Amino acid sequence: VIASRVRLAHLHHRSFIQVREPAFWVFCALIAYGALRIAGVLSELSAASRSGWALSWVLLAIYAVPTFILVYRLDLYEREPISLALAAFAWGAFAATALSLDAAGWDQAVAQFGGREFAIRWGPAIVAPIVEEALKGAGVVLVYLIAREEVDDAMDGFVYGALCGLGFAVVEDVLYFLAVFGGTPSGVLQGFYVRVLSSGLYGHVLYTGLVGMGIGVFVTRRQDRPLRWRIGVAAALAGTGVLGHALWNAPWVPAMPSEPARVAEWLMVPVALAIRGLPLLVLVALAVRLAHARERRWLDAALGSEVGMDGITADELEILRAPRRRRAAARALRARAGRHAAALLRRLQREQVNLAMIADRVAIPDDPALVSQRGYCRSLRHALEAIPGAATAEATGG
Amino acid sequence: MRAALEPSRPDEASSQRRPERRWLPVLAVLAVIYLITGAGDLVAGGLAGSPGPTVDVGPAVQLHPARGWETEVRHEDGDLHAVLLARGTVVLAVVATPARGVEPGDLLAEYEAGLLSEGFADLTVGEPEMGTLGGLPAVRVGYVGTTTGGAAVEGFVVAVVSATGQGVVFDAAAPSGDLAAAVDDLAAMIEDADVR
Repeated sequence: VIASRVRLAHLHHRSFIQVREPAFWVFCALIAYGALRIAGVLSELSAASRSGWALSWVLLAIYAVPTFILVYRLDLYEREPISLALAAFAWGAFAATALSLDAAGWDQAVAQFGGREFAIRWGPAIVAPIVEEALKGAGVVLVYLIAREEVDDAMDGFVYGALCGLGFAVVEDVLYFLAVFGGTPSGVLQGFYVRVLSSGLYGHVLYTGLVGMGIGVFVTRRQDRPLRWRIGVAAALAGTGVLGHALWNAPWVPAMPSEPARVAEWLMVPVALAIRGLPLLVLVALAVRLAHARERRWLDAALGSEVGMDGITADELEILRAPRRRRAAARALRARAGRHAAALLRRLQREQVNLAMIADRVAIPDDPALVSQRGYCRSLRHALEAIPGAATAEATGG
Repeated sequence: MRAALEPSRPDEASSQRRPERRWLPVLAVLAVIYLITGAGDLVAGGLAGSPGPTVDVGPAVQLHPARGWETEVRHEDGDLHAVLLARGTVVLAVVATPARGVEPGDLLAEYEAGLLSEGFADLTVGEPEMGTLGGLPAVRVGYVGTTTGGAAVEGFVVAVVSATGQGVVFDAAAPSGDLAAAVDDLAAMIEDADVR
């Protein structure tokens, strides 16, 4: 019983604040250092134009908030704790950016060994991808060390990596708007067009998402794959992220139109950037699709034997495995029986995902933890059926 | 708020945590971070040495190079004096020329139309921003461009005219993405420059 309780306790969503984990303190210390370092650089750059500086943050919030939500919702069944998701974002925004600035010595080394012209042309494609992806990846590893139970498949690694990449992209974009595009409102708008509207789909979110996915594969496939396989797959995924970053930075396709630029030239900017970024976007979309398929297979395998028992019905499973149907069922129930009923249905669905996690971990079908979770799901269903208007239709949404 | 009839989780009160502290993987992560950042600094430090001596740009301007910055080029043409400092891929060109009665904005425009445009296949210059440098009126502008060699470059120019009519242009440039790493050094060298 105690062992079962421990297993159940591990299903709780852990928050970022884990004072007993050394990784937590290292993570916090490096974020604090990064925040101070980046604040110093930004205050220096923002002196040129306060209005441009403020506009930069407003524009990037318009891009970052929906992207954050999109990435956060990629995990089909078990959303990550919001505190950990925000921590990953903060790592990318402050720690990874500041530490990347500290790694500038490598640029000088490339210039020393290959000459300045070579370093100018190829330094961003050689140094930045390795340094930046390693530092962002370190954040994903620390998130894993802070809350190991929350990284339980490749998709979780992708989500934390992508959020880390998003944080990095936001601060790097502000630095670019101020340092490269002049920092004035018109310059910021120009930078926003080139770096966000035209290329926002292709950047750090994808690279570090792949790195995170590699870390996710490495730490979660211990049970069913040998070490060599895990190292190989993780290295291939992370290497693809680094390679994609390097190809993006390579001086092959100029992104900026020549001055004075005509409208047609500005319209060609997204095309030029798509040539660089679209292949990786397609690759990542494929990887996410494969990860989703694996999540569905896992859910089917874990809950297949549970159908017909107290925890879940066949109709409920059919809805549970498709996020779109889950949302539709909650919407329909809300229209019919009110907000509370819809919230209760979502809770039942969350607990059914937890039921799958327990079923996946226990050795026997009458393990006390599994029996207990089945009973909990049944009691939630009964509570739902007691709400006027929700009875009998809560599972199908009809 | 949870309704009274709703059941509670079977494991609601549980808050068990692993008792052991796991330092080893954390130390491994720190070692990787140090390898990436510290080793880069060690390489840079080994190449850079100590801060160089002050550098004169003509009779009226004196620069204090930060650690690792070296004088690459000196150029004199009559009243025009120029020095190019470099650290890795980042360069700071300093041009001094008499500019009595000239506004910093006009000095900047002249530099932009002449020296700055040379060597760029494409050049986009931001809006000039007025400010001060060492108490003197100054103007700053950012730019981005592609060199004739095909490299994407970012940079900024600061122009200032002293009370004695000495015009000075500071032009900092680096491959796209590299400039931010040197912003602290560049700001310090520009602000600490003695302009007489």
